[in-house]
Amino acid sequence: MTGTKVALVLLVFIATVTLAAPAQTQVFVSGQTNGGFGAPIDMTVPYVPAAVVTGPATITITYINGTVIDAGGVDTGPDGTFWNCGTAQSPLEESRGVAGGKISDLDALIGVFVPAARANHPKFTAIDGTKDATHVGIPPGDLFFVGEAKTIVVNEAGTLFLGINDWWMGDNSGGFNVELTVQ
Amino acid sequence: MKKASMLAGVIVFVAASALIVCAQTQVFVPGNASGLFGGAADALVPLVPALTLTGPGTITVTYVSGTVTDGAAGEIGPGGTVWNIGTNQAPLQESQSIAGGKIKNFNALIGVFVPAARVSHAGFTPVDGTKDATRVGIMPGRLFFIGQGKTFEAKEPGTLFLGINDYAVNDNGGGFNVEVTAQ
Repeated sequence: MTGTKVALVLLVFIATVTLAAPAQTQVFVSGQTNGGFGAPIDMTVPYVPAAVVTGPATITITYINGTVIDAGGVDTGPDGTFWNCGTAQSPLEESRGVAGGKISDLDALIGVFVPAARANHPKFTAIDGTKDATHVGIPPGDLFFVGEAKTIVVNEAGTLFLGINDWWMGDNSGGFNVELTVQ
Repeated sequence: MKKASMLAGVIVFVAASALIVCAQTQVFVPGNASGLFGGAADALVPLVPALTLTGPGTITVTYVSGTVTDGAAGEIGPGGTVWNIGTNQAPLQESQSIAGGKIKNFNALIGVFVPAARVSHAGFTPVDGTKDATRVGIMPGRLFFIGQGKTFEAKEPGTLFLGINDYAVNDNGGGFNVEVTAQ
């Protein structure tokens, strides 16, 4: 085998190992990260970019630690807590076009996968695209509950963003430490 | 042929006839019927129910007459007009989670087909479901442009609602007379 061929085989081997190795990262999702979703909102804190994939991939989201502290004595983990919204609308309610009443996931960890064509748009901001707060935003229908953990399979390049299922954030604090694995 | 068989045959014939009967109706869509879609919406005027299907069908929407008078943009037909909305958001922009800049369909005739399961839900109102204005509303991603006319296939029972592609509708008058047929 010539030296060139050996180098080529080594390169292919290294590339294969690189592709097979899962990428892992950790992010902190502040308890005030509402992404401007829900209503009425008192502030808009963009979602946290957690993982970027350049093609089809499997993303696993795992809660590590932390709690979100909210009004009324709420100190909740990533699954959220029961709450009567009254006539207000939580982000996950907005994703279904409903509002008000009792929910079981106030302040839960939530996420959304945004395709690269949108996430890389020069005027994109990681907030609710149904309000006039950004030129290009996130469609609420794509939001999903994460809670303690969730694995999603994506068919295209894009970015996973994370946030909190609450609309009124001025009285929130704390947050969740989250681990992301991409394969 | 036995009586029972004849009766079954008659029932099948009647049912088949009912399916191919063409339903036709006319509705007036007021110039302020924005359904609270868009950013900086200034009035809660529900979309207009135009036609209800009890199963799959083909719906044709045809503009008949009328114009929308907009306090800022003047007199406009169903195709809408070019307008720079600054940083605001038109309903059809909200359907794509974008906002601001020049649009070419300001005050155009728009529509949305809402499945029966949502329309018949307690608390449903034909307004933007991503705001906290109704218990159950309409997802903006389903809105579409109609203009002079449009034919589309509905794969399930539901109701077609019509409206105007504007967000600040307090200075709007007039409206569109529209014919709707279903087959």
